This record gives sequence, C-alpha cells and structure tokens, in this order.
Amino acid sequence: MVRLQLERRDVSSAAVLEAMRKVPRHEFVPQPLQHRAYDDNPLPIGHGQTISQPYIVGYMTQALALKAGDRVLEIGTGSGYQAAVLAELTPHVYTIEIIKALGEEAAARLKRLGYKTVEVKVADGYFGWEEKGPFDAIIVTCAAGSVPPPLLKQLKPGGRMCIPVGPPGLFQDLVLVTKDAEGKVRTESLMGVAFVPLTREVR
Amino acid sequence: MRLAILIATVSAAILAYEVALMRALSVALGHHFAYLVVSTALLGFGASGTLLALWGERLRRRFERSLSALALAFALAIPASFLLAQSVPFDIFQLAWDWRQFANLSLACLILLVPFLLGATCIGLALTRETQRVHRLYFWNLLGSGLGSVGIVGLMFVAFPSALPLGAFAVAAAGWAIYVRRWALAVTGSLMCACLAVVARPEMKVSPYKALNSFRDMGANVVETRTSPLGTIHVLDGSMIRLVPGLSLAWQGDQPRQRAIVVDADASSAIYRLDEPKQAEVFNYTTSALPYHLLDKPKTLIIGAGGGGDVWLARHHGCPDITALELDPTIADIMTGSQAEFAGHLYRQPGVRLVIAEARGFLARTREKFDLIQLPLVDSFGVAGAGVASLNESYLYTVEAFRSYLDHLAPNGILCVTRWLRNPHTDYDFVRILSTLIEAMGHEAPHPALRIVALRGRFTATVCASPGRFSEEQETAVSAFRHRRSFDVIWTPEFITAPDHAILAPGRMLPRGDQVNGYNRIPEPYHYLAMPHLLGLFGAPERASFIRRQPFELSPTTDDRPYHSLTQGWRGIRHLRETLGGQWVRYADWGYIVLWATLAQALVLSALLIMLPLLFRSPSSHASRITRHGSLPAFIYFACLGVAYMLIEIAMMQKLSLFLASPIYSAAIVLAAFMVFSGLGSLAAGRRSAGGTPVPPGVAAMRALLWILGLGLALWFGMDWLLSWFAGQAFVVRALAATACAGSLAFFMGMPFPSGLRLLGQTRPALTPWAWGVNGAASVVGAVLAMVLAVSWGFRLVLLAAFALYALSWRLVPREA
Repeated sequence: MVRLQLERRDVSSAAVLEAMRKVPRHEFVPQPLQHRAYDDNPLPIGHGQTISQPYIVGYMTQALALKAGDRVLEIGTGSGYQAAVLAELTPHVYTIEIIKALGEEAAARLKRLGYKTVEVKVADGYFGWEEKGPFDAIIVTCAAGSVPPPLLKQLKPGGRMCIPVGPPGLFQDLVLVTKDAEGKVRTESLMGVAFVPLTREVR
Repeated sequence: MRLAILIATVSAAILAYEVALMRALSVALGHHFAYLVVSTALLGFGASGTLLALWGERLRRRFERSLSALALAFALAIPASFLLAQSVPFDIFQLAWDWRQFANLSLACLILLVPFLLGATCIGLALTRETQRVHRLYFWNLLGSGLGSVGIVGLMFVAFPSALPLGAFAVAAAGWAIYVRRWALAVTGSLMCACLAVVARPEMKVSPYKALNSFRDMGANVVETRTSPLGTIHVLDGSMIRLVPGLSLAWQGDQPRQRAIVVDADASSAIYRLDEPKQAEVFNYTTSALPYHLLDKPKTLIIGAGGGGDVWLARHHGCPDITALELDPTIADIMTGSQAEFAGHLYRQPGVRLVIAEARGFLARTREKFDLIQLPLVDSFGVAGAGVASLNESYLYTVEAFRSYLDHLAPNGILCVTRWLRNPHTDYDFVRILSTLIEAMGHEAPHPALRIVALRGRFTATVCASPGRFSEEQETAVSAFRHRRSFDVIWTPEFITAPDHAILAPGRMLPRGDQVNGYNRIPEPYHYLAMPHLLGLFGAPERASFIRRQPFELSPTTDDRPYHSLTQGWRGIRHLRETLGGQWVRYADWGYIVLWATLAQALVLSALLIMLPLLFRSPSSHASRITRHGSLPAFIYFACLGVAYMLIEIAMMQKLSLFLASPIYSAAIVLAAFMVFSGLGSLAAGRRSAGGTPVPPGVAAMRALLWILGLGLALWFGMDWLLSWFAGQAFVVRALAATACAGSLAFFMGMPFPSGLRLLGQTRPALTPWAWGVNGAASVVGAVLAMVLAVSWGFRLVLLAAFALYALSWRLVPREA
C-alpha cells in the first residue's frame, strides 16, 4: 500500500510513510471489508461514515508537517485510523467524533491496539476542544461548508490546519490554513477530495 | 371513440409520468442522473416497436383483449415501478470505485422502463393495426400528450414530486376503465387518485449527499414545506445552520441565527434572524459587499433576492431604494408570509420593493436606471461545487444579459456579479464570466481595463464593472476593503495605470505576487493571468487566439449557447488527464460526461432494440419480411423524423423560455402547442382533397416536409426579429406569439409520421410496428442529441441539424408517391 499508493504519488515524508507502514489499517475496517482494507479507495465504516483512502490520510498528515511533541486536534475520529497514524508521530493527539457509537468504538480500538495517549471525545467538532488547545495542528477529516471560526481561534500562531471545504459527499477542496506569527490567516488550496459531511450535532 | 380515448389517456399518462419522474429524480438524485435514468426509461418506446415486430401479429389477432390487458398493466406499472426503483440500493458516492453501483443504476433504469414499454406498446399496437385511420389516432395520441404535459405542470402546484406519479396513474387507470366500459370506476377511481396525489406526501428516498439530508443529519428540523413547478422548498431551522456565502476568514464574530431554504433538496439560501440593518455587519465581510464601498447609498437592483442576505447588506449600507427581484413566487410568499417575522419583515422595510419576475423580462419592460445592479449567488454551493451544474442553461450570464444590465445603469453606476469558486484548480466558470462581461462592455473609451475591479476570496469571486472609469478614491477603497477581509485581487485598474494616469503597456504591468495570490493561495492565479488577454491589452486578434488556445472554454456565453459553467469540453477533460493523471476524476465535469454517456447509452440501446427483430428471424416471421423488403430507407425516414422532431421541440422550448421569461410556463406552452398543433396537422394530412378523393400519404408527407423546411428556415432567420416586436408586451400577448411560432411549425411536423406510417401500411405492412419502434428510439436519441449539440455549438445549430434531417427524409419519400 505504502509503496504503490503513497510513495508513487507525492507522499514523501519519511516519518509519515513509516507511520503509515506501522498502523494496521485492516484493524480499523469492519470485518466483512477487511480483505479490501489496503485498496486504493475509501470504505464504509457504518453510520454513513467512511475510512479515508490511504493516500488522502498520508497526504493530509504530511501537509500538517508535524514535529515530535506537537499538539494535534482531529475532527472526525471515524474508526480511529487517522488518529493512530498521528499518534505514531506525536503523543499529543486529541480527536473528536460526533457519532457516539463510532467514538466509543474508536476509543476502545485505539486502546486495544496500544495507542493509549490518544484522547477521544464525543462532541460537536465545530467548536473544537478549547481546554486542550491551542494546537500546533488541526486536521479535519470530514467535509465542512466553511472553516469554523472556533477552530481558527484554537490554532496556534505558526500552526497549520488541513480541512476539506465544500459540499458533503461529492467533491471538496482540500485547504491548508496557516496562521502566521501575527495571527493573520492564509489559505492554500491543495487538491480535490471527497469526504462525508461534518455533522454538527451529537447522534 | 373508446379507442381514441384510450390512446389519448395512455399518451397523457406517459407524458405525465415522464415529467413526474424527471421532477422526482431531480429531487432524489440530482438532475443529471435524472436525465440518464429517464432517457433510458424512454427507450421503452423503442423496445415497444421491437416487441410489436416480434409478437405484434399475435397481439393483433386478439386486439381488444390485448389492448385492454396492456392498458391495465401500464396503469399498474406506474406506481409499482416508481416504488420498486426506490428500493434499489444505489449510492452515487461509491460509483467511482464500486462496479456494483453501475449494476444497481442499470437495474433502476430497467425497472423504470417497464411502464414506458407497456404504454408505448399499447399505442403502437393501435397505430400499426389501424394504419388507414392512423392520422386520426395519431391526433389523439398527440392531443393526449399535450394535455398530459399541461396537466402534470398544473398538478405540480398542489402535489409533491413523490405524489406526481399518482396523477399519471389516475389518468392511465381511467383510460383503461373507459375502454372496458366501467364508467363509474373511471370517474370515482381517477377522482380518488387525484385527491390522494394532492393530499399525500409520500416519503421519497433522497440521496444522503443532498443538503436536505445533511441538514437533517445535523439535527435541523423542517419547519415548512411547499411545492410548485419551480421546485420543492423545505425551510429548515437549526442552530447549526450557517450559510453566509463567501464569508471572509477574517470574520471573527458570530453569524446571525438562520433558517435554510432548501430547493429540490439542495441548499439555496438562508433566511436571517435580524432585527435591524446594523446587525448585518457579517455580510460586509463577503466579496459581494465591495460595490457598497465604492458607491454612496446606491439605488440598488438585486437579482435573485431569495432569503434576503443581499437585501440586508444593502440596508446595512443605508440604500434608500432597493428593488429585490425574485423569480419564484413561492419563495416570495414564504418571505412575506410564514417566515416574515423570522426574517424581520425584511421585504416590508422602508425603501424595499419586492418584485416577482425573471430578471431579463423585468429589464426588458422597464426604463428605470439603477446605481447598482447586484447579481449575487443564485445557485447553491452544493450544486456548483459538485461540478454538475454545467448543463443548467442560464440567461443571466450571457453577453446579451450583461448588455441589458449595463444599459440600465446610471452614469458611473456599477454592475456587480458574484460567483462561487468551486475547485480552484480547474474551475474556469468565473474566468468565463469575466470574458463574457468584457465582451458585453465593448471597446468604447474609457478602456474596459479601467472600468473593471475583481476580487476573490476562498469561496467566491466578485467583479464590479462600470460604464465610467473608477476614480482614485474608489481604487483606494478597493485596497482597504480587500486587505481588511483577506481577499486577493483579480483585477484593478491600478495594474495598468501609471502615476500620471497614462495606461501602461501590458509588459510593464507588475502587480506584486501577493496582491493576486496572497491570502487565498491557489497553484496559479489563473483568473488574474487571463485578464490582460481577455481585456484585449495585446490586441483583439491575440484575445481571440488566447481564447482558442485554452484547454478550457472561455469564449463569451451567448443566449444561443447559455452554458457559462460548461468550461470543460473533451479538450479540457483530456488536459486534466494529462496534467493530473489518476486524480482527473475528482476535477472532471461530470455533468458533461454523463450527458455524453447518456447519448452513447441511448445510441447503443436503440441500435440493439432496432436490430433485435432482425436477429430473431424465422422463415415465417415478420422480422424475416422486414429484411426481405429492405428496411433501410424506412429506417432512415422514421429515424430522421424522430430525431428532428425532438431537436426542434427542445430548441424552440429554450428559445421561447427567455422570451416568455418564465421557464415553467414556456415549457408547458411550447410542449402543449407542439403536441396539439402536430395532432391537428396529422388530422389535416389525412383529410380528403377538394374533389373528395383522399390525398395519397406520400404526397401529404412530401408537401408537409417542404412546408417544414420553408417555414423553419424563415423562422431561423426571422424569429428573433419577430419576437423582439413583442418583447415588451404583456405575458398573454407574448404567450400567443410563442404559440403561433411553435404551433405553425408543429402543425406541419405532425404530418410526415402518420403519412409515412399509412404509406408503409399500404406497401409494406410488416414494417409498420418496426417503424414505430425506430421512431420512438430516435426520439430519445434526439432529445439527448439536442442537448449535446446545444452545449457544443448552440441552439441555432440544433435547428439547422433538424432541418437537414427533414430534408433527408423528404428525399426518402418514394417518388412514385
């Protein structure tokens, strides 16, 4: 998967590639679909949600340019795969899932697989996790109609946020948001992606 | 007479079901897939010809029983197929990588095909048996279709899309009951169904990726639902609804409480809970706010006012005279009625005038001048962002439209156009809007480069154009506006103005990189890069050559080809494949691809259906006689008629929709005029001559084809001129003029098919069922081909292609006739 889907494209960060090699993706996929866990596409994980394509996980993680010790917030835990990849790069991973069943399953799965430093919260990701912030990096793994201002506030000066912006389900624009030392926000369009919606009420 | 009524009711029900299906699927799935599914279903017409060619003789032997059974099966199949198709688990999201979704889509198409097959077989059976009465029966067929199309549009005012098939069922069932002489059942049954269609609101499976379901997933509640032919509207309430299009990332405050207006399950706009204009500061952080920083309290015209965000913005800037145009009377009614209190009685505030009208029609009938004409976002991000809206024609963004707006500006007034920026890698919609606007501005002094300002944010871009040059103060205001809100410049007259106000040569223009690509970085600031060329700063020939060289379509959009969003032809898609490799799928214009896929599918399936009777031949079969007699001339004749009829009908519908300034009424009027006048033409072609002898069908066909060519070419050259005489008249006058234009041509277009069928009945009767199928399949191909030709070359070419096909069919009528 790493060699064919990531290295051959534009994921070149050695740390990210190593993290992707270490995390057993099939553990984060429902049992009946485990034989397709390393395919080059997203897969449904129930509750109308999906686990992202491996390439997108690698690409977004690389875009965050994480350093060891960075505090990172993830919005949209899903099955916990992205959080596990992040946890291979830094111990300070905070992740929010809006769908209770998914959040609880992901928390148990991450613990079982040894990712004990990852903190999972079931809540509306739109408002971020103020008590744990500010963050060096924020990664949003679900489609958002716009960049939520609370997340911008919780991003440290010099921080980076990777977020797919656009209508849910079809195609969004993957945007890198950066905050400079003076707090001025700039955005950069990275590529087109397809994510399921950022739901904003706990289910 | 019973047969005539049956033919009319089955025809009416088929047409009604087709339109109902189109509406229902547009809501459930999106209009592009609705198009694909319905065109497949319509191939039932072609399949009916195959069925009749293979087993027609058996059916004709027990004519009355067969007809009655087919009519009953057709009626029952309408609700059954509609319900069954919804249970097919089709997921559009997984279509890109899961082949099973293609299988599911095909299954849904197949299920929906059944009623069309049964209904068309019913009509085909009657027409091909009664070839000597075919003119009369064809009249009833077309009359029924006309009434069906008008009836279903009428029903849309009171019934929801999911209940519309009930209306078609009622008509079909009544037709069957009358045919079997159960009059009481016909009356009570159809009345009950009609009542049920109005009262019932059956739940329909809507794609989980449409805004209606996204909002519901977020926990929003539906507070109001309305329906009309223009769309089904849901008003949703929820604390999580935040729809301020193009809001700057620099906005740190809260958004006002909102309710979403969702049209056909896609988010359209929002209603804002504001009490006074000063609370509308949030709108001041959108790109659309730019003109209010360049003008002082302008007299404003807002095109597509919807939920009122732009009206609040104008009020926020103290505009004393605001005209808010809204096309959809239902939205206007919601805003001034049920939601008026939530909306702060916006449309009753001092200085605000709400006008229910289509913009082009409104401007054609007024001499009023405005300081500011605002053309805000009139489509949703969901639709625009999906890259599938490219096939929606819009007469708001054409050269002719922009000229009309500019003509209604006061001296130094501003035309302001805002569009979504979808995917910044490949979205050339806004560049094409700029190209169109520059073309409309002409080359009069001052140079258009001095009369245009354009900015872009992350999600939207706005251009302001003026008849006069922007002043230095205005340029300073643009700079302050955009820095405060983190917007990038696409164009400002500063770029070409030297300190002594002289215009710089293009080579000396040196805007700083961070001016055009600083706050919202994209791989290449292609909007800005195109501007010197589009503005003709290197000369007019270079402008034309620049537009030709681009992989994406940047030529100005015109009323003849009003597809401003369609910037990716096959050349653009090939460019994407070359530059993006496997990622091209994410950026491709799927509306365009689906359109071509629909044409390919219609051609392949039609060919199969037409060939099928030839494959199953046995020495005694009809199919064998088809080949023996030589079917090619008949095939070409009936195929040409089927394609050409649809090309003209669709082209006329488009042309007249702008003239009538009402897409729904124009569709109903043109459809009805075509069917009814074609029906009358069919009757007239079957009449006897003055001497009492019947006119030979071949002669009738040849005369009719000559009339079509003569009249058609006269309309091709003179229709625009003719219609311009009536442009400023009342709707009734315009509707009569449109009916005269469409009806005169349709009258003669109704003749060649029944005459040809009658001639065939006399000379080669075995071919008649097959000819019916060929014509049906060709009509489906024609409907899709009309769109393909229109988006590629414009509607005038669609009409020319139709005339060429009619000329070819004239050539094929046997000379001995």
